[in-house]
Amino acid sequence: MGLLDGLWIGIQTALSVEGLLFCLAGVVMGTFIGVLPGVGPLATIAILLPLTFNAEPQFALIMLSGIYYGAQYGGSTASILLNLPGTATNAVTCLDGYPMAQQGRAGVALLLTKMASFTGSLLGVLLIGGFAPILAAFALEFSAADYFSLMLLGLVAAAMISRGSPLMSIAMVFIGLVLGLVGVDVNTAEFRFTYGSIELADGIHLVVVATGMFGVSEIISNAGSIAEAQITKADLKFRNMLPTRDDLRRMWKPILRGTGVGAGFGILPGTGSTIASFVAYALETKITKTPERFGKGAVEGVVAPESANNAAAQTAFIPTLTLGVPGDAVMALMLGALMIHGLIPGPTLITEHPDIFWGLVVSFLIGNLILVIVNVPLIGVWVRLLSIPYVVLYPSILVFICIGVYSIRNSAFDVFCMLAFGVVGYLMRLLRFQPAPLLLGLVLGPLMEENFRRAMLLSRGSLTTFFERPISLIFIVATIGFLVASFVRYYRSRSVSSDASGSE
Amino acid sequence: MPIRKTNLIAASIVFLFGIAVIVEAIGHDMGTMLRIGPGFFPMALGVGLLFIGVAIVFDPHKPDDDDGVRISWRQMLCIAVGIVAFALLIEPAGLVPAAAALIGTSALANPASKLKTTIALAILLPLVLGVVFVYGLKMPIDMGPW
Repeated sequence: MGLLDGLWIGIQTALSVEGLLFCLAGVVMGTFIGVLPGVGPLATIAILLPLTFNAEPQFALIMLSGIYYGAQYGGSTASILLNLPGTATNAVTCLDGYPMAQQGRAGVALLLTKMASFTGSLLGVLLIGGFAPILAAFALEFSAADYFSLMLLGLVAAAMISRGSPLMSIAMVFIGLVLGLVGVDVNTAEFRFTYGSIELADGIHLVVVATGMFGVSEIISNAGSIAEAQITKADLKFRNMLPTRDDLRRMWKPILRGTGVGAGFGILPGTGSTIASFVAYALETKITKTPERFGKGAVEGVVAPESANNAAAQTAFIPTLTLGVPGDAVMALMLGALMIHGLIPGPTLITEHPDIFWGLVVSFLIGNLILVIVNVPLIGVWVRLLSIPYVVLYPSILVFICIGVYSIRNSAFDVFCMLAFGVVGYLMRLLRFQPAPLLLGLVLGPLMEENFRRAMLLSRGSLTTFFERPISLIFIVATIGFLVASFVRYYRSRSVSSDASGSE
Repeated sequence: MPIRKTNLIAASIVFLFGIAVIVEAIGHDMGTMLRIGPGFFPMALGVGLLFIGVAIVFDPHKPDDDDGVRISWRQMLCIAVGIVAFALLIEPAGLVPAAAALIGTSALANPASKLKTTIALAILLPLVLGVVFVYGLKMPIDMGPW
C-alpha cells in the first residue's frame, strides 16, 4: 500500500464527523490541562482512558493523543505568565518566557511559542508519515530475541534519563515489571501474585496504577499549598502579540534546531519531550554569540524548547506505533490503550490497521491546526483559567479520577487499589523514587516475558542468542553503553563536588 | 562515607519487595531454559531486586542533600479518607453522595479551604457529573439513593 492510499484512508478517518469531534475534544482538553499547573497529560490520559473503552479504537487514540500534544501547547502559557510550568516539558520555557512577560512582552512570547509549537509539530508529523512505514517494514524482520533486547534498551534508557539516582530508577523498572506479571500466566494459566484474590486474576489495570502513582500521589504532595498564583498582567490584544522584525529574524533558526533536537529525542526509546526541551535550550545557549541575553527574555530561549517538545511529542509515536515499544510513560499509556482495544502494537499495525495509523497521522495535522486557532485568538480564556485556585481544583480532579477508575469495570476494589498506589507512590516520591520507569515496566513486563520465552524456545534454550543476532546485539551494546555512561556520570557528579547540579 | 537514613529506608523497601517476589516465584515451576516456566521471570526479577536493594544503601548523594522524610499527614489522611468514602458509598448510595463525600473530605487537606466554597463545590459538581456520567454516558450506577 502506497503513501497516497494510506493518506486517503487517514483523511477518511480523521475528517469523519466522529474523527473531528474526538480530535477537537482531545486538543481542547489537552490545552486545558496543559495550562493548569499541577495537572499533567499523563494523569489526564489515564483518567479519560476508561471513558474511551466504548469508542472505536481509532477515535479513542485520536482523542488521547490530542490530549498529549495539546498539553504541549497549553503548557507554555503558565510558564510565561506565572513562571510556573504548566507541565514538566515546559519548565525551561520559564527561563526566558517569564522575563519577557515582565518586560511587557507576554503577548509576543505567547504567540511565538505557539508558532514554534506548530512548526515543531508539523515537521514531527511529516517525519511520522514518511519514516514510520519504512521503520515498520524493517521491524518485520525482528525476532523475539531482538524484541526482548529492544525493550530492555527502552526500559534502561527511560530509567537512566529520568531524574535522580539511576539505581533507584532501575528498582522502579523492576517493580513495574513484577506488577505487570500479576494475574493469569498466559502460557500455563497459573495465577501469579494474586494471593487468592479474584479481582487480581485479571491483572492490575494500567489506569489504576497510572492514576494512583501520578494523579493521587501528586495531589497528596501539593494539596496543602496555599500560595495564590501571581499572574503577570498582560494586555492580550492581538496587536500586542505581534513580534518585531528582530524577533522574527532571531527565531527561525532556533525553531528549526529545536525541532531537530526534539524529533531525534522523540524517536529514541526512553527519551521524551522533557529532555528534548532541556537539550534544545542548552544548545541555543552554546551556539549563540550573545549568551548574556539568555535568562533575560531571549526569544531563542523560548522558541527552541517549545518547538523541541512538540516535535518530540509527535515523533514519540514512531517507536510506539511501529515497534510496540513506548518511549516514555505517556506512550506506555497509549500502548496500553491499543492493547485494551484488542490491537497488537508492532510492525504489522500500519498494514493491518491503516485506519488507525493514518487516521492518527492526519488527525495530528488537523489537531495542530485546531490548536493554533484555539490557542492564539482564544488565549484570554486560557489565561483566565490560571486564576482557578488549587483548593477548588484538586478535589474536582480527585472526583474525576475516582469515577474514571471505578468505571473501568465498575469495581470499588479498583478504587481502593488506586488509593494504595497513590499512598505508596507518595511515600516513594518522598524517598526520591521516580514513578515514570515503573509505568513503562508495567506495560512492558508481560511483553518481555513472552518474547524471552519465545526466544528461548527458538534458540533451544541458549542465552547466547541475544548476542548472536546482529540486531539484538546492537540493542544490547547500546543498553550497556547507556548503563555505563549514566552511572559514571552520576557517580562523578556526586563524588567530585557538591555544586555540580548537572546530574539532574 | 556515612550511610544516609533515606538510603536505608529506600534500600529496605526494595529488598523486602524482592523477598516477597522470590517467595511467590518459589511457588511456581521454574521450567527449563528451553521451556521457561511461570516461576522463572519472577525469580529473576526478585533476585535482581535484592541486588539493587543492597546497592541502594551505598548510592552516593550530595552532601547538601537534605536527609529526612517529612510526611504531610494531614494531606495524606484527608485524601485517603475521601477516596475510601467514595469507594464505600459508590455502590450502596450512588454517585452524588460518593462524590460529595470525596470533595468534602479531601478539601480539608488544604488549610486555606473555605467552608462555603467547599459546600458549593460538593453540591454542584456531583450533580453535574451525575447528569453527565449516569444520563449522558450511561454509566451503570445510580445518581443517589433516592
